[in-house]
Amino acid sequence: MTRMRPYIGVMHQQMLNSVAKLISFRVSFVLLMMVEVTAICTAYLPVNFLFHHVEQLGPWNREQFMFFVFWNQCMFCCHNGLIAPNFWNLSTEIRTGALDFRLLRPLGSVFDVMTAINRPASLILLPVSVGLLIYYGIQINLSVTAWIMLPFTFCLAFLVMCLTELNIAFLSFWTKGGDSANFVRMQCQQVQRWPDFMYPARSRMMFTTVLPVLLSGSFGVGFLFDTSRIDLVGYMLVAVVVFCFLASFVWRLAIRRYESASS
Amino acid sequence: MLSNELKKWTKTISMALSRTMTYKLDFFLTLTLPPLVFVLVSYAIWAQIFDRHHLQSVGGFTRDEMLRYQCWTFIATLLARSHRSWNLSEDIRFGRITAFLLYPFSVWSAYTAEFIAFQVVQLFIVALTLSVMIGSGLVPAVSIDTLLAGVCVCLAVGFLWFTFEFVFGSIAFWIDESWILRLVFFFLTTTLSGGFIPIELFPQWLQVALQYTPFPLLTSIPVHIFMGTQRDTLLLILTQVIVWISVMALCAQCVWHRGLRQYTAAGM
Repeated sequence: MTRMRPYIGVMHQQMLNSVAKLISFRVSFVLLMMVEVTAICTAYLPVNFLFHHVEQLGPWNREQFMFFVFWNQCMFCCHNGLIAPNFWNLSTEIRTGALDFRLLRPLGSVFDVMTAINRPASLILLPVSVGLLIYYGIQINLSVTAWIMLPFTFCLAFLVMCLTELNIAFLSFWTKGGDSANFVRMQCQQVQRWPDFMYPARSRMMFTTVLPVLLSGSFGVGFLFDTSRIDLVGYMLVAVVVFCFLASFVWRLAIRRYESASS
Repeated sequence: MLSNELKKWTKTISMALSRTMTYKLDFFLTLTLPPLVFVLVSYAIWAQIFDRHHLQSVGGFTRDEMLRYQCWTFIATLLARSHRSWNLSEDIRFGRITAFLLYPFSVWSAYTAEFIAFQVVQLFIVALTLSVMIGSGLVPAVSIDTLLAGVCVCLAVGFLWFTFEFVFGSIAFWIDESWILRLVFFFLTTTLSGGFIPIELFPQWLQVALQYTPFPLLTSIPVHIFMGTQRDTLLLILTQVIVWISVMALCAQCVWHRGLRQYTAAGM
């Protein structure tokens, strides 16, 4: 707990700074809200249009699919508010050499890099996505166990998503322009928007093992639909452990390779 | 005078070409990978929708037609809406356009030359991709007339996209986060231009509403031209594109001049 205290203090202060910034720049705030509203609409509409023409997609009906859509939407909301700005910031700092200052701070560098910027505006619409998730959960008669397990499964799935993307973001140390790793990351989110059964076997295998972007959406929701499938949670736990080790290994490798642009 | 101007253009285009091609991995990951992933996801999902439920057709599209539609979407996207104007907003924010303002070559011309260089590279990528697609049977070979018509419309739409990007980039005169507007427009385009779901599958009221917007021009119409299923004449489509380009160019000019009036460069 003593070791954790400075980290919690830093996070608290950063959150306060972000809120102060949010209140100060109202145009940015409105624009960010606009992005979130558009993201929700553009996630909902294509699936809605599809279900005008088909009764079911794979084993899921419209309500089940919408539950999946808003599960992902909640995840993207948290991701955009807490993690995503840091990925973009990392590539900029590598390019400009500003990363040096982070490496010199008396804090875990990965922690500092990944919590430097928050965007609370993106979190303001989280209740809308959560509300719709609960609405569709009620529509599909989600079991009591599933409701109880939902927060834990969500956190686990979110952790899998963040760790996978963290490893991809570290690619910025190897790509010269900087932002391309973020584009790879964004493409992974496109893959994640659809359930695993919509992909051919080989792609499914790849996106659940090598680059497990399908775990956080499909496995998380799959477990809530059928709580006897505890193996799905097991896969996510394994992914968290493996990608934690991988991230620490890649980070050490990347730092050894890093040539500061400012020095 | 004219040869002098031409020399500036060719020099800027060749510089932009070499800049674009210097970091090939970045170029691939940033500009070619997104539409590629998009089409792979779309292709896989549509194949699954048809195969799992043994559907004969969805919204008038058979399985083969839908899969071909997704492949042509990739080609249209590469040519029509791949260009990005990050540089412009960054140049404005960091005060780098000051140098441009002193050069005997306008900012608009410099960025247009850069866009032309980008399109040249994209044309090569499209030629290569199309040969692979036709060779592997993903799309059937099309007549030269159809191909030329499709490429012409895509290039014209590409210029329309460039004017949109220029307007969004110029917003950086007022706000730091001009990328937000670009992102919103990108979200809307991906959904409403008929990229993943053809416009024919949208509700009737939305199909009618979209006719009065540039969205169908950005994906659906070029794809239908390639597929030979476009009902409007080429002349009508090109007229529509030109009208939208004129509107957006006017907007770009207006935004640029207003922005320039309040521009104070960093470091001045």
